[in-house]
Amino acid sequence: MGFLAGTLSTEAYEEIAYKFHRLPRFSIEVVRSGTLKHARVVRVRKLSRRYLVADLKLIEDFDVPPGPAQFIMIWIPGVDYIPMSVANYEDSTISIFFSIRGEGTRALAESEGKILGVAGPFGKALPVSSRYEYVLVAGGTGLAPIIRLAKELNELGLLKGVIWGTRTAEDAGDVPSYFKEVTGYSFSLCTEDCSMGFCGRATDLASLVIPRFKECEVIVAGPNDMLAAVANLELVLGRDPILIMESMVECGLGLCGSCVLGRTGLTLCKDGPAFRASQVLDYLVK
Amino acid sequence: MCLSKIKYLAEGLDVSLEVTVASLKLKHPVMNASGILGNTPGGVIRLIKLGFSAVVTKTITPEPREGFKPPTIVKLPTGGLINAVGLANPGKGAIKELVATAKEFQVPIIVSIAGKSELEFTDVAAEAQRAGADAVELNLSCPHTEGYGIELGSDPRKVREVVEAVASTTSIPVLAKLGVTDKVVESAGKALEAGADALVLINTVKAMYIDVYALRPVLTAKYGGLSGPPIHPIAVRVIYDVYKEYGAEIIGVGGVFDWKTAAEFIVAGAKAVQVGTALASNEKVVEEIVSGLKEWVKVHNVRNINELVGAAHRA
Repeated sequence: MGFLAGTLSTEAYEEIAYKFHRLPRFSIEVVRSGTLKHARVVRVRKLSRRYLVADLKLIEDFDVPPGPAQFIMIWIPGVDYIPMSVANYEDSTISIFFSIRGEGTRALAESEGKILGVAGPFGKALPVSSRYEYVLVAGGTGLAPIIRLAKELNELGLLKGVIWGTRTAEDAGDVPSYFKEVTGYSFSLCTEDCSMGFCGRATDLASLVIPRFKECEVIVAGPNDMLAAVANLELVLGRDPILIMESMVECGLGLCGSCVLGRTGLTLCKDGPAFRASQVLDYLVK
Repeated sequence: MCLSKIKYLAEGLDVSLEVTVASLKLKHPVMNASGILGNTPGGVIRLIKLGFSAVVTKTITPEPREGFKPPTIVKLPTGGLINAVGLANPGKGAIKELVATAKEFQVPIIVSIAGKSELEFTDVAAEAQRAGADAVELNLSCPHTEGYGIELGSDPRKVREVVEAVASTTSIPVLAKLGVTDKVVESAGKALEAGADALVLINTVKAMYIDVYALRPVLTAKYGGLSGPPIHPIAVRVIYDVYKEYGAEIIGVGGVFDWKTAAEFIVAGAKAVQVGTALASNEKVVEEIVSGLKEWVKVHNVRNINELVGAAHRA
């Protein structure tokens, strides 16, 4: 039995070395990425009654910078560990666009000056192709990943339009000017109560606008019912839009199972958060 | 002439990685470690798509448990993961659907169970058997949830009582999962005496990760279980010692992240291996281990991986 007999010739050893060399190998370095780093919350701005933006300056940089649609986990010691989309990343500073939904986000809103833990980036970065032009549609805090995408696409001259929907003019507040400040682009605002901009939901305006941009790639971010609505509209037109999903993420590592998307067997944290509509439609409409 | 022809033929033949452990026939020796994904039908489907030869569910207790608040699982700067999920699980009511999902894909499913008493263990085991599970794995070693696990596993007498209670009331194979303790070899012996068909060695190792900025433990539960490459050599030692003592059927678990770390368990005495933490960094890990093991079996000029089980004891 090979090695065990201890009688191998030099040639046999060389053959073994050759075969072993061809076997798949795996870098231990990969194992180390995604560990907890630290960041100081340098500023928390209230953009409106509903939305805030927090700027986190990394004390230790990430192993790889976060790409479009990727997210990070923020550890607020003693409170929570929450998934957050990266709205902007510049000079080792991460901007988080959010609303207060629970203990974790409340603590984040009150964390100016504090040092927090951050892990990531998690999920797959959404590749941007210069072969397409893009229309972006967002609802509520779904705007977070869209800010980062819009900035990149606008710099590349590939952005054809951005639609954002929220409930009221008071909710919108300074969000439009913040978006312009970061991306250099102005979005079309929709309010559900018709108090500002287009009267209706983002999906209502999208259904009017999108059919006119036949060659465009459509990217949508927001709650599941909104994603399903745009996906259906688009699939009818024979297109397969990109959906950036929100879901309960607990570990970000593809292990705990809390963000498994039903029987698709996909996880938001590993396979997403951006998916083609055709991959996840069954889950969204279930 | 004859010899060279035989050699030629042998090289052309595909080697077998088929193993039978605790009467379970597996197409290759790589199953998932309990605690990874196996808590919903979608999670079971994902495990099957990742290529595991058998699925092990998340540990299930009679009633649903919420577990600890996040952070419950984090990567460590020193390698591996630390977790204290707190045995969060959907309760025994979910077993039927988990088992049915695996059956749909014709993949064997092992239900991991825990309880505070022998009665709770036998209760969940009976449910697993009714649902058609292929085996039960008794979690006798969870390091972070009070009243469950490690207190049990570190007392050989209690290990014996729990295994006996389950083995005498169920007809499906019983696997006993033990953690590293001073008495692990003795506990393994008691589990075998009591009717365990195979041993699963080892569980995560009780550990702590403190954040030096926040000046507090990172995990909500403070203590957690260490997994991944840092515990691999500990698992090798335990598998080696237990195999040497009893020649028992062993499923090795702890820090396997490539074919070599899997092969090491097999040489120490394991018939099969379980993989968990490695998935966080490499979702192709199962196919990489399987193809690596095939080459490894060929290198040793044997046809079947079983011939290499426990080989270190014959060196």
